[in-house]
Amino acid sequence: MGIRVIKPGPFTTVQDNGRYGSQRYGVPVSGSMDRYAAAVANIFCGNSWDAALLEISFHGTKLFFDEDHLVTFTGGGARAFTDDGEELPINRTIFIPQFSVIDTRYHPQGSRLYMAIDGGIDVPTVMNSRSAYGPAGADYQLKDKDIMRTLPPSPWGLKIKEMLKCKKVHAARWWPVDAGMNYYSDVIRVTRGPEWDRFDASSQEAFFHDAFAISRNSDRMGYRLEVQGPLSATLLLKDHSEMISTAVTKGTIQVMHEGSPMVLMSDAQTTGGYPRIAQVIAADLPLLAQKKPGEAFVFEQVSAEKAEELYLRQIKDLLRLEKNLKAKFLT
Amino acid sequence: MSKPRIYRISERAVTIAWEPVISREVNEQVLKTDRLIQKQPFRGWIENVPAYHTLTVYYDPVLLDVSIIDHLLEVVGKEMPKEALEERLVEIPVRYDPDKAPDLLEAAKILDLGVEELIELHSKEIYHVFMLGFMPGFPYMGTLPTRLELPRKLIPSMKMKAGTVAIAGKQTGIYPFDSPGGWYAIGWTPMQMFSNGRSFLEPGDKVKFIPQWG
Repeated sequence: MGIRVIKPGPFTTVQDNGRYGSQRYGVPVSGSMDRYAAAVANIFCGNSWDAALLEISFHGTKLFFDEDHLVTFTGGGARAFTDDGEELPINRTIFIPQFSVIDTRYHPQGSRLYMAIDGGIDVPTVMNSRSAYGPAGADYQLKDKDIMRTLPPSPWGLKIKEMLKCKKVHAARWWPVDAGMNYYSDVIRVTRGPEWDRFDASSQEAFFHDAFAISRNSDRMGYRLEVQGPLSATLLLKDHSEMISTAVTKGTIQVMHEGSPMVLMSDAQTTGGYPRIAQVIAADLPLLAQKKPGEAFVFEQVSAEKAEELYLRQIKDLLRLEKNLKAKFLT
Repeated sequence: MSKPRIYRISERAVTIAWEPVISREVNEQVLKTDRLIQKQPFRGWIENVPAYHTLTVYYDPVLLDVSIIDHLLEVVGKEMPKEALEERLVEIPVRYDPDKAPDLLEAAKILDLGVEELIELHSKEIYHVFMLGFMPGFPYMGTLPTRLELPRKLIPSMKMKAGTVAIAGKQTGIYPFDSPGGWYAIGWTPMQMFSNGRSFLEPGDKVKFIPQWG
């Protein structure tokens, strides 16, 4: 019994909030690229925010359900369909009756689809996390004929399932008026990086005037950025003193030797030795995670205080969403 | 020891940076502070990542009930324990064999050393594990005897075998997994540097390489 993988899709992995406590041994944090979408999907299934779910990086994942489940799709890059070709909405709790088939097809907006399942996916934890990371022994990329099991749903999840139970796949009629994320924004906000002052004045200026896009040569470890003009500047140092390796984190924008920037993402190394020109603010990492190769954006500077405020506000939005849904179902 | 600098690297992490040099003295300061925080974690603390001259502290700003910078200023303002850190000496068998270590002969040539001399210089030293990084279980160790210092390769090798013992600059390291790498492969060890979710070495360990023959 479980959820059977009919087609895994080119790159579908199990992710949770990440693997903490082992960065000191060089183990990347991993976890969902778009944490916001992952949290929303989990909340709608009655799960805790950090429950393990699927991150579907390209379309083509096809699943068979052995039993009744709640699922929620969030993010982008693909949409889910029933066997009859009916498109399922994102950001809504969906009831899936036993013996249903769901597949995912290309969608032009965004680049990562999340699928939460009530209870959360039950794979063995490796260093306190269910996030896929091969070298750590968490080989959780979906393969042909895998059978996914789930943990017991929360009382809240069970209640939603009871209410939605019916013979066919269908979406709940309620959804958040405002889930708080504007994925269409082409502005990614950053704070200055620790080595900002090492860059020459024209590079500093160009960094906030040029448009960038992620290159095709990007993955869960890092996004290589291509400059799209108008200045098309190479980012140059004025201070060439030696860099000694130190901790780097998701959102760190380091500048490689040839003068091009790279943003570290979920599976990035824990330490690095390239100059860090800027740091993508935590509140905008979901936006960046959903950008597709070639999609242009610009960087805008904010203060560290503002960045923290925006991040805490985002967490409050999620807490409110959770509270509202609970109030709806537990009263 | 001069006062460290403290700066944010994200909304969830702060770095404490001492003098930017590769030295045991500075790194011991990093590791002592690391232990101090681990012994008395504050509310919201997640984990520490020690590096050569920095200690990065990850935390959850939602749970924090103090200013993180103020708290860490207080921690580093404390008198650090005078006594040295308790040390673990780890012996690692190494085969300095050109069949296992493709750059051994080239490195000796560039350094203008005989292969035996290179082996003796590399294996007589006791190295300090400054930090782990790059990939799970990869130790950055040093410092190398001056006569073994050589720059990174201009073109990284695409396949360093798991267990490869390599040198670059003042450092020596061991590749836990097959990977591309820009250091010179001078030896190979059968020891698994990372397995079952555990790193073989810890920051602060002392390492001695034991040459194996045949």
